[in-house]
Amino acid sequence: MAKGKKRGKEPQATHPRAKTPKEFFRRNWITIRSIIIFVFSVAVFGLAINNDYIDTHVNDFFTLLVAQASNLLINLFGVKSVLSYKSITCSSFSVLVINQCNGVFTTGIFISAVFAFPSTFREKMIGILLGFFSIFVINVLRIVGIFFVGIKFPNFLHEAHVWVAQTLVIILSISVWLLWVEGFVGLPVKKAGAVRT
Amino acid sequence: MLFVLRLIVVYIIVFILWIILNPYYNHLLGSTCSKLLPAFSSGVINVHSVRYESHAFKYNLIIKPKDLRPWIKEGLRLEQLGVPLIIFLTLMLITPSIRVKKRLKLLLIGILIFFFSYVFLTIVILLGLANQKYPFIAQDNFMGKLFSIRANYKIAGFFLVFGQQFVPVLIWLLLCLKPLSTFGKEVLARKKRRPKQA
Repeated sequence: MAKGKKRGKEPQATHPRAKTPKEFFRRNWITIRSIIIFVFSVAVFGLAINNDYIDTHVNDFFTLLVAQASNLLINLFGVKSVLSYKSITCSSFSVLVINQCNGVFTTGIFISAVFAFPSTFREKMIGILLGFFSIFVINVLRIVGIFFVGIKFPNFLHEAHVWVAQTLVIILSISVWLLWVEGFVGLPVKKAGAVRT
Repeated sequence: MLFVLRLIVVYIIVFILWIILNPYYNHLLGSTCSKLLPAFSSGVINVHSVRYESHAFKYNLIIKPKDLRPWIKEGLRLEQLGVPLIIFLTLMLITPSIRVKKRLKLLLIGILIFFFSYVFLTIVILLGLANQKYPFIAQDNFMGKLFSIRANYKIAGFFLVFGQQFVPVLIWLLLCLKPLSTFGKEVLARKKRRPKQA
């Protein structure tokens, strides 16, 4: 290092604006590609979950799973509740878990974001598993939270359901994605020749 | 841990701000939609009023088909389209690797894109719901011309969930993907610099 030169004062590489669209695409290709992958995979996911067959078989299965887990947790917290198909009922309150509440679309957005971010196949698999389980847990906690608000503070049920719970699920899911980027992307890969896609 | 703490603090601040500003934001959204909706429906569907009733904004439409007396379709609740603003603002404020000046610039651009995206989404959803209820008006608007009546209803429902969960994340990603890639590279570089543990 040159004598007397302070840290952080090194001349930085300048990036003049791209003169042609081709140059712009070349320079920002990774960013553009990530956006394309993200939008395309969310579109595929959105179309898939709107399909009647998937809605009846896959979505219903997840909704039942979420309802069962929520009911189990509510009972663990000491409130005696009963699960009847997708409806959780206790003596003073009842919730119906519908397919839009099962977190499948949020999981789809998460998985699309994992696909889009430049990372290795192994990192993507870790991301998908992490997202899948985290969103499931977040969603179950959301339903349990709403259930308890319904019992204890019924006047705030609407606000808790529409305003707080729905926004928190998305924000926490994105946070899990950011934590995945920080915690798992770029970890030393054991397999030789792993390619970032 | 610090990140989660920052996230919670930012979320609470944004949420309180949103509670204060939400009525104004929704009125702006509603009045912009009421100006643009006739253009998307050959003048058949207009927003009569947007009212705040029992915790929610309700769109009252006035439908004026040709050769028929106009009538009002009341109480279309689209409050879910006001909530994504909380998601968008929180994400913009917690994204790492953005300087304050750049963040403010992105926030301003983002709010504009966000607002007009929701104007469009609201129009699509209102048209879809109106077409499903009164199929004979579908031929006069672009949703009816593009999709079947059954698809209109499904698409309206899909766009509601889409607008609620995906659009704020998409706009955030479009604006912040470059800083996020920089963040990813920084993380990668930091890990490479870190000495290997035994």
